[in-house]
Amino acid sequence: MGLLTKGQALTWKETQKRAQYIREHGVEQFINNFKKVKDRRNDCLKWGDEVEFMMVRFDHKNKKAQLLLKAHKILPILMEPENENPDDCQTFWRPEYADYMIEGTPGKPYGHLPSHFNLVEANMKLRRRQGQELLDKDEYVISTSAFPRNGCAEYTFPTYTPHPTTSASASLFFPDEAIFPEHPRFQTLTRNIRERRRAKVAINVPIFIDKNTPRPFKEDLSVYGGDNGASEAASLNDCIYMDAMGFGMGCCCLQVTFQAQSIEEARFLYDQLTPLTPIMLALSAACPIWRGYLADVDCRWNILSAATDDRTEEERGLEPLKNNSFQIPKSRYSSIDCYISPESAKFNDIEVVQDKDAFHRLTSNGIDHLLAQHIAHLFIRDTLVLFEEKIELNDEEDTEHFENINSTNWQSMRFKLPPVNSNIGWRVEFRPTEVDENMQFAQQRDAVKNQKFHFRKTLATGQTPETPSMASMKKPLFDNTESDCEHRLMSVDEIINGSDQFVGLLRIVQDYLNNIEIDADTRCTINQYLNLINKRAAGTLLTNAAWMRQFVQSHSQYKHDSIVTEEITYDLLWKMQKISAGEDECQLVLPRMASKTSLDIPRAVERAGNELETKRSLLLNPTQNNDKTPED
Amino acid sequence: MFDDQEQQQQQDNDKLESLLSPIFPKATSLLFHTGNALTYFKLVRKTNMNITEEIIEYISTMLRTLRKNNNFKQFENETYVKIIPEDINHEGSSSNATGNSGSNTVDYEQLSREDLKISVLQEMKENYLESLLLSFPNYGAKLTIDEILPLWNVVESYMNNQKILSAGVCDFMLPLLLELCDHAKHKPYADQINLGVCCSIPDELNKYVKENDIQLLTHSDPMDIINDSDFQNSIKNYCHEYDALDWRPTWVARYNSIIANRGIIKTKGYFVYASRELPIKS
Repeated sequence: MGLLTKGQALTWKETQKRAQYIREHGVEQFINNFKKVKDRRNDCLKWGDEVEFMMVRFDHKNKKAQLLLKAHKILPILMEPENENPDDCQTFWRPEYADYMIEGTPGKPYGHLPSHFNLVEANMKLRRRQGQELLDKDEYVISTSAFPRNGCAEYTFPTYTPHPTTSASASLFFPDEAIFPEHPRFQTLTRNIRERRRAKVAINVPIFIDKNTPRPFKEDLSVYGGDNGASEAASLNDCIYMDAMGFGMGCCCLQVTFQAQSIEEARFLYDQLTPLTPIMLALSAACPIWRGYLADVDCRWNILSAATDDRTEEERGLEPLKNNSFQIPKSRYSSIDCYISPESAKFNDIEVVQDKDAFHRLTSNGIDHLLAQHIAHLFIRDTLVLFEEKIELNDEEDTEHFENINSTNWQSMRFKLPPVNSNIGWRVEFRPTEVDENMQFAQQRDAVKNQKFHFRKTLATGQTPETPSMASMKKPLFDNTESDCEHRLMSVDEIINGSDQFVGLLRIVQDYLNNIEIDADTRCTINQYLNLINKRAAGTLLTNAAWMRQFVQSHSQYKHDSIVTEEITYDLLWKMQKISAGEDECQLVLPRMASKTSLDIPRAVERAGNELETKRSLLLNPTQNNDKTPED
Repeated sequence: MFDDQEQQQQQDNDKLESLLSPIFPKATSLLFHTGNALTYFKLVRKTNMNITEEIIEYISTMLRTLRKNNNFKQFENETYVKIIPEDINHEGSSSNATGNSGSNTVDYEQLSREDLKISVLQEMKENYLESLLLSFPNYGAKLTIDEILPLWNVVESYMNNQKILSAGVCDFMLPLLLELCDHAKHKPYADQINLGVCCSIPDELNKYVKENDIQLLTHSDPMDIINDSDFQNSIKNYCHEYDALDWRPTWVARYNSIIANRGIIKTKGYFVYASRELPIKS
């Protein structure tokens, strides 16, 4: 969702002038805040998810499906319960980039009990229901990552024509009206990214070459209005060309955030989850269609990376450095560049572009090199959005300038600082759903079945991070592993399901579940989820992307020219809607599931937990009144 | 990679000379305590080990270590032999341990013995167990409430002394569970059922546990955790053949400790207790 400061956004020119100011004060704020919270400990695990939904309107008579620009109407209603009684909400709602998107989170974070795993699905269903209730006939909340005809003619309802010469994005395809209007942040980001870059963003997705696809595939962009050949020049052969932030940020994704016990644990967790990001991306692949064309990729990641790429030509290495400080190899939306925990430092093998002044400032204030490198790397980016009222801040207390930069580095993992005036702890956000080579492998067509990924050969057991220096995690099991490479190429099937050479992540999860007290309903639910993952990884169930691709290619209207027409899109989305509603089945993608998910944990579990707490504290504090026995 | 491991095991076996005389000739009680099994790294790499294979693996490892270190003179005259890891951790009094006890004997006398609790608490050096789950032979199918109650009463006395904070049962279906609740002072807080049925719990049982605030938990243990011959064979591989004679595993206890509020498993271990009768020497 991003930082939603209110107020008047500055123009790009004014914003750019303050880039260095924000950089310096952002680092200052991090240092001050860090000193206050570095020893904060949160002994209770908390975690939560954020799901973005899109709204679609179906025109059954004309077999048309359009993105419904209604977020600005229903969000205020969705947010009423939170405004009235924030401590007693089951769901929270937030706006997102596009006016056809709404983002929902659970009202309270999930906790450490196994029973909490059983709440997630029910809460997600509740959120969808709450959104759906506010829509009219033929309007539906849908969770899929990319709308297949985003950017095509009349793809929104109401319909708007793009005005490339005056709009924030200058896009030939994406009208400004599709951007969420009630908050200046999104339009401002769009405009400022383009102005900083001195060109609109250029996204080129390889098209899927089918029997009748014209070769080379190159659209005649002049039909969308002349722009002096800028789009012509930016579009590549055999690619689907897109030119707006909305193509990326208008995708619906899922993020999961975990609160760690301490900063050490957070850093450890951040690093440990990173190798899973490409695997999860491959498993959840759901975006094979872009702007009405079948693509040769299955995921949104590279599109998002290009859609928010504010780097100038100098920074991209196309022109010699004159006005900019350094060449930057990656977009600000990308996979992470470095590990941040001491245990994994040895795996940092690429040069990380950093702001040297920031680095020195951080290290001279007692921040270790690894963390300093991470922050200094984030701060190579200029601020993209500034609000008039929020420039002069108290660096001792506020963290907005820090968050300004931290939240506009969109990476596969995010390391989150605790807010000072709260008891929220150090957190880690897992963002790919939707090791760099692995990220490229993951996006290939049907990567789950066809690709191999670099993965660690041996895993230690889940030993605790009580002492972060878990030498045991890296102890070689045989004497000869010193010279051996620690990783090799494995398929997703092997990584998830194991083989005779690798234990498989699912096996480890099952072992864990077998050793904790987990109630039968939760276990039943989780087993079904694991079954789904097992089959996806093995290839016996299709990913969403593979299924969508198959649907298109076997549709009677499809002409094997990579074009996904309005009617095909309508049929596809309507089928998806019916599957979600339980009115239709799709055994290729989803097994019949009957999870036991529920909005609340069982009373027995809650009671037992409370009783145990009481008994424990009585034992630890024997001076308390001992003739009171705990209630049965 | 597993070839390497099996090769190593073979090499180890070859190195062990056959013993001329038994290690514990007078033993009639035998207790294995694995210590924190999470430290057994090599075992992490094995896939699809069930609990029987796991336990055999632990017993074998412990005996192999014993033989390698030539450290068994101490057992010559012992009648109750305890095989415990040498570097066992001493936990502080504030850790949270859950004990899962599986008994697989048909000898009903065993059910009322207290030594189970004493052994576990003593060997683990804990001040208390947060939860204990009792599993009876054949999932309690052939037992009546009268046979179960004596053991439950023992558990209740530990609860009264706050040595055990909560106790439950395993695989109890309705008539038995109801009877236990009716007769017990401390009702079971949980009934741990086999994974195979967790998605198809009988309605009656479901209703009863919900009304009485009993948690339905799950396990995936077979009815027979380790049988006589498997147990004896694993001893025979590393000891004198007389050391393996006639042992009958009486009960198995699995325990783990979890860091409170974070769901992280800190330790996991097993106790395996066996007994036998020796021919009386003149």
